[in-house]
Amino acid sequence: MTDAPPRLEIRNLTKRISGRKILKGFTFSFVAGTRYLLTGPNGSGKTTLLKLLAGLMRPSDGEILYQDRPLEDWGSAYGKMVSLLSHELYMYEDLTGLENLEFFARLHGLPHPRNRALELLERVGLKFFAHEPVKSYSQGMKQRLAVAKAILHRPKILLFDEPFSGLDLRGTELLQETLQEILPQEDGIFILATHNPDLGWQLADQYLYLERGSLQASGDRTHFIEAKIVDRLRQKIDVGVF
Amino acid sequence: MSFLRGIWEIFRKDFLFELETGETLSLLLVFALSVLFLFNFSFDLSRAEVQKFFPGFFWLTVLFTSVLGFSKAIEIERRGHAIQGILMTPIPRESIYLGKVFSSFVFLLLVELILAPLFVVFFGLKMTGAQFLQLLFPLILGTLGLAAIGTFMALICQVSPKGWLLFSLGYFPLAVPTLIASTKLFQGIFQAVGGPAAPWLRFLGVIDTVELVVAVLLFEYLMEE
Repeated sequence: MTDAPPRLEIRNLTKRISGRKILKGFTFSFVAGTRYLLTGPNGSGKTTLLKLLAGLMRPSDGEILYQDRPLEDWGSAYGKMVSLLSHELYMYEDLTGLENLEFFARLHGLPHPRNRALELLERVGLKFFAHEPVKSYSQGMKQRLAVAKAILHRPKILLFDEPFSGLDLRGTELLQETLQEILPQEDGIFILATHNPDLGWQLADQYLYLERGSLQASGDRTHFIEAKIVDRLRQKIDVGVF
Repeated sequence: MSFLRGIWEIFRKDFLFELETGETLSLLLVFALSVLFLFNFSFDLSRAEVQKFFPGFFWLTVLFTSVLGFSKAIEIERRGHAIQGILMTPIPRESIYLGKVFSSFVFLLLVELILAPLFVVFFGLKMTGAQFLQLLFPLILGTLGLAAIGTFMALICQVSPKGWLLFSLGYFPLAVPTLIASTKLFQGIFQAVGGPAAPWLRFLGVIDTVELVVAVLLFEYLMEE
């Protein structure tokens, strides 16, 4: 594992699933220390892109490079660098929060896995629920536990896919507070996929706009406003509804 | 993380899960005992017939029970997409498969160790301590073979929309050589028929190895999507 700032590059990335092109020749370089908002209408390829960046899928064409090496060359060692939080839990609901975090800490080969798990449960405000099975947690608590799991091994690349999905207003606020508290302490690359830019901009400083598997626009918040991305998102939602 | 450590961590988690829920062992045991009762009360067999049919009944019960065990083992990973969480860790991919094989093997073997003496009692057979020890060889090798194929086929269910069709088409035919060899070994122990045990034990050892190696090689490919 290297301590150099992470470099993540996508070159002509194409992904086909069941013969359908989900991503179409996507090229982009993610810079260390930057937080990206990945937005676009439903079905634009956000989740597929994050799964590819997490190493859970392989590109159909093109390549993804981490520190100038294709992900395939990293093998399972890439798991030390990356973390993906999604609206899926990626955990065991019948085990307790502590057991889950300890298990994943062990898989990451962390020293003192139980201590690290307890430290993070306290950090996300779940210390008093450490010994409760995850299935008894509210949706908001599950998401905060997922945040703890995501930063367990101090990854260089943090990928969040619709983390606010299914949360009520209070749950959203709590998760935002947790993320605000945690993110400044994590260097590296942070990519947050959401179709709700208002929530995303509270955490991000650059954006990428995807539509039908193609990168349509990218830049900072000023560019986001000038490019009228919100209007484009609304139009897509309208077309979807009517 | 080392290959063996990875296998241990997956097994440890499944064991912990079983301690918390008790789901797998209770399901397998209740099912296996129900089949045993059904066999016992459905047939009115003479002592000679019992000795002849007992090995087949036993391994048929193990086959049915194993299907429940594999589906349960994979269901645990499906809930909450937990297996994707494991795939994002630096654990060697083959450790995930072999860890699941080891868990299924241990749970199924535990059920068989309870089931075998009960079969003997219910069917009115006599079993010496030496015979029970001899049973351990086919039980261990036969169960390992079933766990190797069954875990792999159950993992296919995880990634394919027609998974359970593939499971039934793959698991049952591939399990036949293991079941024949294990049944022959049981016959040898209880009836002193079925020829010498060594060739069948070697056969089981070879097919277990082949199944495990092929499944490990295919597992990485299987998990890509």
